Amino acid sequence: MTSPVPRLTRRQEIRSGLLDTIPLLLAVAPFGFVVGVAAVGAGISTSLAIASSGLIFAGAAQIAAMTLLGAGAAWPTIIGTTLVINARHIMYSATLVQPLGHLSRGWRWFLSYLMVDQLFALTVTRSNDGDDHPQLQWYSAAIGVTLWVVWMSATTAGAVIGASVPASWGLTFAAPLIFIGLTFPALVDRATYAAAAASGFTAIAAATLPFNLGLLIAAVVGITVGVVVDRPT
Amino acid sequence: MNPWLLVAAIGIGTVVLRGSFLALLGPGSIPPALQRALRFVPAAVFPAIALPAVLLIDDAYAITFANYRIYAAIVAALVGYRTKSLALTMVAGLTTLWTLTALL
Repeated sequence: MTSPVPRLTRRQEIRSGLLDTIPLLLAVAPFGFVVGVAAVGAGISTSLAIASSGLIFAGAAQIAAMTLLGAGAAWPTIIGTTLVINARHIMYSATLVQPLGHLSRGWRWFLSYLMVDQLFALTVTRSNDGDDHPQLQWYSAAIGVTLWVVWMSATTAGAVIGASVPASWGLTFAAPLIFIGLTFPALVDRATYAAAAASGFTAIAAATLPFNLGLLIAAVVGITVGVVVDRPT
Repeated sequence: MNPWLLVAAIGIGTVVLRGSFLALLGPGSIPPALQRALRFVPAAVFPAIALPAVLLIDDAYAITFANYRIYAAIVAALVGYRTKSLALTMVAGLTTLWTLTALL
């Protein structure tokens, strides 16, 4: 009884997770640093700026929360804004039920806490790579814990030093590159190409809407187009 | 109210969103129609994060020949399409951007 596809062990999952995290750090470390700088720049105390990285652990939502808090915005506005920015995580959460839903409750909450965009992207890409992944949670945990440590260190450095990375390094470009690199493994047939194209055009057209709404609208348009193209005629 | 409580509330809200289906509702909570739609989440989300970050600078459209990120993104996309490797895609994109910035 041999398995038709490679069946990966816990050790292999952790190893792959650590290796796959390395390119992400090019984006995550400077971003975390900038979030720390931005929080202190918005008038937030250094200790709260650092703690918010551990409590919220979501870059865009943290920047929005710190900026609004520093500007003296009303509490419902701040909470509402950050939750709208993070609403895409509902889609991620639903998507991850298939590869990770069998885990214990503790594992599922642990990975939910760590589930930033990059971790979702790598986890779902690996779960669809054709191999058998009975220990996939270790892959996700290796990435998530590494990102957490780097994110905390980077925001702490940013909040304490308060300087900024030279813009000429162009490291803000590392974040879009991550998602360009992850798009292609997700394109497997006509319907996924159609979904990506529709979503891309919509995202560009809607890019100036506030609160990341353009991203949510583009995702809904892309998914809808994918489903329609996928429907057998 | 204490800003620490606000940050804690945002943190709890974020974890609840992230755990909504995976940890709270659990397996079997997703109807088949939604299941079919979820297959398109990666293809519909990743380009929507990437493209505005390439084509906008400081929240304003920068779709011009002077925006070197566009050339770098095209090179990165070609490498990504051919290799399906995240690391090679990032190296290609950043190298292109640095080269253009240094030369032009």
